[in-house]
Amino acid sequence: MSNDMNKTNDVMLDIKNLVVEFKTEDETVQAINGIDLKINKGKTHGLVGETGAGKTTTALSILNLVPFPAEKPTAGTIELDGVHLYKTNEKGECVPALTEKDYQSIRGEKVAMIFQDPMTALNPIFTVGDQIAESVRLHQNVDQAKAMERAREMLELVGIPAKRADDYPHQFSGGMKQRVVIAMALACNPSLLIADEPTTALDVTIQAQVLEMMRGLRDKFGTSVLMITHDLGIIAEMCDEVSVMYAGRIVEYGNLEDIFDNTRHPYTQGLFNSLPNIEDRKAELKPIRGLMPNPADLPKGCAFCPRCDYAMEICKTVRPERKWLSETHCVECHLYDDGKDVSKL
Amino acid sequence: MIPVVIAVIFLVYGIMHMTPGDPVAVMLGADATPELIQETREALGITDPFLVQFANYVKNLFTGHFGTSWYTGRDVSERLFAAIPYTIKLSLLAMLVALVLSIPMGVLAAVKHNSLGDYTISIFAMIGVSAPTFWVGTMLMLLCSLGWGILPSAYDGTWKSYVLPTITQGFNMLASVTRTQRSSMLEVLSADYIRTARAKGVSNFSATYKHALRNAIIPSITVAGLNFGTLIGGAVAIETVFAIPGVGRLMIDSIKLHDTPTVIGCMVFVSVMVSVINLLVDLLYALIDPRIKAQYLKGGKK
Repeated sequence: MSNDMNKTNDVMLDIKNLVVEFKTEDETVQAINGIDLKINKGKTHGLVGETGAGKTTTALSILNLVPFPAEKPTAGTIELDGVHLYKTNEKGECVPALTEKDYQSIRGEKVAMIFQDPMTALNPIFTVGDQIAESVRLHQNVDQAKAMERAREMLELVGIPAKRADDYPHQFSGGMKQRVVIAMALACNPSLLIADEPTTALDVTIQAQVLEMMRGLRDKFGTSVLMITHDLGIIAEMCDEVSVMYAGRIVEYGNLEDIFDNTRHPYTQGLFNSLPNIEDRKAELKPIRGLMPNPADLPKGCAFCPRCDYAMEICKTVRPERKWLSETHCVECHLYDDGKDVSKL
Repeated sequence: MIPVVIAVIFLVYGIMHMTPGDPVAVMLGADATPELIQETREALGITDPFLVQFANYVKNLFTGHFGTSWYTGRDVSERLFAAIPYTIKLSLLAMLVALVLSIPMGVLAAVKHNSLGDYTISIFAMIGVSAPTFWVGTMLMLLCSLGWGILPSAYDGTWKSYVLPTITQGFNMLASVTRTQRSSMLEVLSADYIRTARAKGVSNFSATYKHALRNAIIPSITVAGLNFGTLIGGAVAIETVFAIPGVGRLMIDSIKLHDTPTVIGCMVFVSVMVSVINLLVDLLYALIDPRIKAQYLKGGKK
C-alpha cells in the first residue's frame, strides 16, 4: 500500500508495529511480533492463520483487553478512526493513550467484538434481551424500557422473534446464540466490528446463514470488519483484503486476487493445499508438515523455516524483510530477495 | 424431605435400640423389685417388637408427641422445646456470620489473585477447614476468656456470651465457603462471558460484581448447605464446651442417661432443621440460576 493513502481520513483502524509479549517467570511468549494492519472505512479485512498465530491477541489489543500477564502491548501504536489507543512513551514502551473510562466507552460503541464460541459467550443468568440492552444503556443515554425496545429490534434484525428477548441463553441453540452475540455487537452501530472466528463453532449450514446475515448487516450499516478466521472460504466470501498471520507476524498481505490467484508465501500456499478440492475429489490433501513453533522459543530466522519446503540456508538465520511485490501485495519471505519473481512456486 | 426425616429416625431408633444397658434399671434404681421392673417395661412399651415400637413412635410424632422421657418421666417436648431456641439462634447466627464474611473474602482473594491478601485469606481458610471445632472453641476460650478476659467463657444470657460460640461454630463453614468462593470466582472471572461483557464496555467493577459474582456464588451456596449439617453437628461439642443449654447439650446428657426418647427427639429436630436448610438452598438456586429454575418447572409438569 502506498504511503499517500495513510494521510486520507478513510482509515478506520491503523495498527503499526504491534508487539505483544506474555512474560512469565520461566519464559517470554512472543504472541505478536510487530504487525502492521490497516482497515479502511467500510472494508472487510481478513486475518487468517492457524490456532495460536496471535489473531485473537491482535483483536484484544484493539480493545485494550489483552489478558494477564501482558495486559497491554509491549510496543507499537494503534489508531482508531484518528484516535490513538496506544502511544509510545520516552522509554520506547507502549502505554495506553486513554483512560480506562475512555476505553470502556470505545468498547461496544466504536469497536464491537463477536467471540468465537457462542455457547460460552453469553452470561447464563441474564436474559438475552437484558444482555443486549446493557450494551445500549452503557453507551446511549436511554432508560431500560427504550434499551429493551432496541434489543428487541436488534433480535428481529438477526432473525430472532422479538418476544424471545425474555429468554435465557440456555433456551437457544448454538446458531441462535451466535445471532444474539452478533445482535449485541451491532446494538450500538459500531464503526469497527471484530469478528473472531464467528462461525467456527457452528455447523456448516448455520455457518452459511450467519455469514450471509453478517454480510447483509455490514453492507447496510457500512461497518468496517476485521474478520478473524482460519477458513479461507470465509475470506473469499467476505473480505476485501487479507493478512496471513504466522507465529505473530503477517507473512503475506494483499487483496483477494493477490492472495488467491498470486499466492506467494509458502505458508499461504500450504493453507490452500490443506483445503479439499471440490473438482478433484480423489486428490490427496497436502497438510503443512510439522507444527507451529513454540511462541516462547521462536526460531532465529524465519519462523516458518522448519516447516517450509523451500527453506534455504539464509532462512535459518535471518528473519525475512517485508517486500512489496505490487501496490497491494507484500510478503515476508527470502524467496523474493533481490527482486526475484518466482511466479510459480 | 419427610422420607429423609423418617429414615433418619429409623436409623437413630435402631441404633438406640441395639445399644446395651437397661433404661429401666437406671430409672428405678438398684433396689427395684423384678415385678416393678417388668411392669415399668410394659408401661414404656419396650417389650413390643422393634417395628411396632417404631411405627407407634412415628405415629405419635405426627401428632406432636415426642414420647415420654425415661429420665424425667415427662413429655420429651418439654425440655426439647426449651432447648431448641438456643440451638436455632446459635446455628443461624453462626451461618449468617460465616456467609457474610466468607463470600467477600473469597471474592477479594480471587479479584486480587496472587496478592498478599489472597495468600493471607487462603492460609486462614486452610487452617479453618483443618482445625476441629472443639479445638477452635477451646483455643478461643483460652485466648479471649482466660487470657484477655474480654469475653465470657460460658453462656450467661448476654450477647457477649454468644460471640465465642458463634465464631467457633461458624469457623469451619467460613473457611470452606471462602475457599469455594475463591476458586469459583477465579473460574468465572476467566469465563468467556466476562470477556464479552468487558468487550461491550462494562466496567471492571460491574463485570466482577454484576456479571461474575452471581454466577460464582452458586457453588458457595451448595457448600454452605452441605456444611450446615457439620455446623449443627458441631453444636454438640460447642454447647458442651460453652455450657449452652441447647439441643446438642441435651442430646449428650440424654445419651449418657440412656434416655432414648429424648435423644431421638433431638435427632428429629436436627434432621428437620438440616432438611429445611437444604430445601432453602435448592430454592435459592432456582432464584439465582434460570437453568435450574427451568428444570424445576419442567419437573413439575410431569
